[in-house]
Amino acid sequence: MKNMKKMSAVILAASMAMMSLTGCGGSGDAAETTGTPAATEAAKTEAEAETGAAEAENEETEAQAAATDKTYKVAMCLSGAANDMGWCQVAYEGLKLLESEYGCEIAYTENLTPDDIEAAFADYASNGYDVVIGHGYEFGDPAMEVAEQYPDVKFIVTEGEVSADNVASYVSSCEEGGYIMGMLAAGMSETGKIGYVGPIQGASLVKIMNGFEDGAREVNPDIEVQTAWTGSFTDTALGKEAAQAMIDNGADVIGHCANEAGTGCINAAKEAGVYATGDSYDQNDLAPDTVLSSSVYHIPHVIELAFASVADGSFAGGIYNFGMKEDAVSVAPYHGLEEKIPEEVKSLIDERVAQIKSGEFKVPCDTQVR
Amino acid sequence: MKENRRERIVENVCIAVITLVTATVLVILSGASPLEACQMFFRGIFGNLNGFGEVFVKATPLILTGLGCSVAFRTGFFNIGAEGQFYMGALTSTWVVLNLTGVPGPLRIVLAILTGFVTGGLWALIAAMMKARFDISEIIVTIMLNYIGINLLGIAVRTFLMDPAGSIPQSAKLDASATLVRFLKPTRIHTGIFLALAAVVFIWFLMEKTTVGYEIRAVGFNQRGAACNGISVVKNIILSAALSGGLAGVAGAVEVLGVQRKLLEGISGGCGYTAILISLLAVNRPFGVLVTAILFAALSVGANSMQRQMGIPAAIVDFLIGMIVLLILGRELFWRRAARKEGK
Repeated sequence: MKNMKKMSAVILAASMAMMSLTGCGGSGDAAETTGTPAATEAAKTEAEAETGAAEAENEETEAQAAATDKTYKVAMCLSGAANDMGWCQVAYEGLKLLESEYGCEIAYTENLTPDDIEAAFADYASNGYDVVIGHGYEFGDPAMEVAEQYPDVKFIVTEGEVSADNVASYVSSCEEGGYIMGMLAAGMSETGKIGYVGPIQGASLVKIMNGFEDGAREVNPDIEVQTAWTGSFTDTALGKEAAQAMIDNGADVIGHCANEAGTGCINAAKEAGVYATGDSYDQNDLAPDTVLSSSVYHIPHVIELAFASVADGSFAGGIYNFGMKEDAVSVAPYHGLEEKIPEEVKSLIDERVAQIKSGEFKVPCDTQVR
Repeated sequence: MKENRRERIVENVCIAVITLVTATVLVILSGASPLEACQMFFRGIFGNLNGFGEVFVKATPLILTGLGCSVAFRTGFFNIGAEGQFYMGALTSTWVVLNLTGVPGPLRIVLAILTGFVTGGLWALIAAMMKARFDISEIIVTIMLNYIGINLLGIAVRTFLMDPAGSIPQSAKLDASATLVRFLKPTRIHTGIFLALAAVVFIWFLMEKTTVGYEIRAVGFNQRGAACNGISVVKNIILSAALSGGLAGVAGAVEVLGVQRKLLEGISGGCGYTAILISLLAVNRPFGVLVTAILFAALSVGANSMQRQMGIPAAIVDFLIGMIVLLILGRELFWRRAARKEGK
């Protein structure tokens, strides 16, 4: 009886702990903490339904698959949910593209926590996957670690900074988009002051902001570019605050590369009646009278290009940059604001875009915070 | 007594069957064939050396933290703070390895693990002192200390321990000479598993064969009785708490030195919480902890493989573990009610 009392006390203590855990998991800042599996569970099942749909599509293109003599097994590791409406979702779309266009056998793991990345890589590599993709720079180190053990498996890291015989990093030249946005912002500014909001001072983001500044200076050497870092990809309030401060300071075009936080910048611009530029995807529909254009990154295409090099045997380790020339970066249309933009600004931009595409003009890639 | 044991076995079989049925239903609900899922589950564990090795990689910190919890639970000190103690151990041992670069590798490893033990122990000691001195519930204090520990690590990897060459919140890589050897490549099994096994034997010996262990158990069995027989309750609670936290701290150190080889957030994978369940299922017995920890590790490796290969959410396993705990809780209630009826 005593024993039983003790036992149930232990269980109660344990269950209390469990309760408090789940409680805190729910209320905690989900975006900041690493593991929130419960929250994304629903997301997961939805994503699976999508996979099913993709499989149906797949049948049509099976002929294509037969053309290549081998069915590749491709696995992808994501740090977030496959339907996060952003960074991870575009990669997942890229993976589905490989399934439908190349007939690849695909698998993916989402919501990977840092402590499990290596295990996931090794698991795929040892289970006969030909290509393992890690989406994001944080996958770089684990890829190097595992790649050494599995020389026959190709590891691809997007936005990575690593390379080895069987490890390649594919980096989008986002600074090209930033440059054009800078030109546009400077061309539209009447006060001679513009603003730009970035999220976290990572190399892949610093280069966009610097590109924006360089682009703006090309159009108007005397322009004043105000910059700020929110320190967060997701905090829209911070983005809005930063943009508002710039607007109060006289800036009349606000650019951003701050993911979700950047939508706060666009909102601030919309409320103040000034223009903004978008980032990542065509953000015009967020504020049709505010967003002049957006710098668009085609992650699925980058993933396709990376895989294509494996499929045609040209794969080699290294760090590759893909930009406008490879259709990995593009500029969104002006939509309803087409007429508001002076002809000379438009033609200047068109010219630059053409030059970047042809390789005639190279946007400087500067990853040092200015 | 014998009767009781047979009933226990029947109950355990019932729990296993209920769990299996639920698992099957969940797999079907997530749109996969249970047979294939089962196959993937076992192939993930036994299919290749890598998966099999991963079981022991995952089991190592679970064994250590589970042992830690079991020691504390046996004196009636409900240490829910293994997670925080794990983080503190990981944090300080990383600091030792990264900063005492003048010390030769093997010695640095020993120093790092000792530091992990001491800080983990101190972290638990805070709660033990508060309980002994002010009679503040150790459950609350250890849970709260978890958050402090976790966030201290978060601050550390963004400030003084951040890799100067990178922009990610994580420490620099530990140099290879100061990491635990991976002796069965390509798996990640490292020498930390031997440390865990040694700890199991040590704790068993300490608890069952020495006076110290006897006193700890006596306090857990009946505090007043122990005190009347000249056994210091405060001393034993503090001792077991420190030992418990120390083991969790060692787990943190071993995870850094053997698996990750750098400090990063979320490094524990929640094993400080799983440890509570392991200790509970093992009824606080060292060898029980060993077996249960390996089973839990296998469960998670198999589930991960199921998710990676077939897209079945690995959370199914978390669901099942929660259910098992509830079933055990239910079993206790059932027996208590039955006992009361008999009493009438």
